Amino acid sequence: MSDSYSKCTMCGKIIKIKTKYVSEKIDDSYYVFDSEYCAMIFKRFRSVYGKDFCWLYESPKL
Amino acid sequence: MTKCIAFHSYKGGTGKTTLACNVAALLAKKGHRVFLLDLDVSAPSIQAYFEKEPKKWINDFLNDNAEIDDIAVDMTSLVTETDDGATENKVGALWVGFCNPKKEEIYKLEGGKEENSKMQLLRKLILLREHIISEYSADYIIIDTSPGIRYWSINALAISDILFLALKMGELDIDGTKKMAHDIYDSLTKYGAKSYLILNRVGGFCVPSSDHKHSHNLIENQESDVGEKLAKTVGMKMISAIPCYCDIQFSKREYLTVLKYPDHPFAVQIQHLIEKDEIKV
Repeated sequence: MSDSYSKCTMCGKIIKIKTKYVSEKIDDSYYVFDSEYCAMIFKRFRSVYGKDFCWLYESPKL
Repeated sequence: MTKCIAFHSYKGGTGKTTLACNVAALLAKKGHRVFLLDLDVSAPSIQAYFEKEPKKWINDFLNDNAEIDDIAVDMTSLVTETDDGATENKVGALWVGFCNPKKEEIYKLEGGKEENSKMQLLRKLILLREHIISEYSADYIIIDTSPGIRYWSINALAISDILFLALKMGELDIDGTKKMAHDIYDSLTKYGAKSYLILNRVGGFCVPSSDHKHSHNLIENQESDVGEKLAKTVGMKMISAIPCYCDIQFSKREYLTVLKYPDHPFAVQIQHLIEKDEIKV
């Protein structure tokens, strides 16, 4: 995460600066999550739906 | 640590709603804090077991028109009162989130979802789970899902820790279950979910002689053989095999067997299921 605010890719919550977060590189793209749980279920959805379900990949940056 | 358990099936009519409601009620009766969610959004039916008209529905929460407290219907009194009107020693709790069966509400959740609203609805579902854990300190979240491969059933399965896939002993059901296990469940179990088969409504125990008294033993004796074959075919461990009980299956009204008839063989089967190590918190 850079110096800007981010949103959790999965639940959409704002991740404040200097708070703990999870970053995952998936297929050459980086995604940020506010918890391990969100990272895990994102991977589940991605695995079920595949790459074509673009609604799952809306830009997380504010 | 909260356990989120989803009841799912390939086809309708496998008894997953009956299983979900009875498991939730018995867990609460045994002293656990349980939140039951009706996420069979296209054909909600949990209301029939509780005969309650909620002020707000899960639909309202998902559509940003209600808070968690508005949709959580406290049904604890059902599980804490004994036959003589006294209260059970170990006090559990049972809340139920009902899904609105009105067609216009079903359309709102099921039909015409735009891409961005799909994500919003999914995020609200994740938030619902989070609130149930943080505000209700639930030991268990029990979810009744839509059958088959649908947007809401996938959502419900993806947020769950344990997936119970109910099926009957029919070739169509077994073939469909096998396909679904491969298409969907493999993706979920790869990332931490645990999945199990529940063979439900197994025939041969009720007609012509209703020997319910021994049905548990009979099915126990057959379980390893049937379970082994099914597990091999579907590629998933079988956790329970429950006979068909005509008095439940063909009852005019739905009811919670574990509360109404706690000594009924079906209630005994549910008792065995909730005692399994796989679902203990």
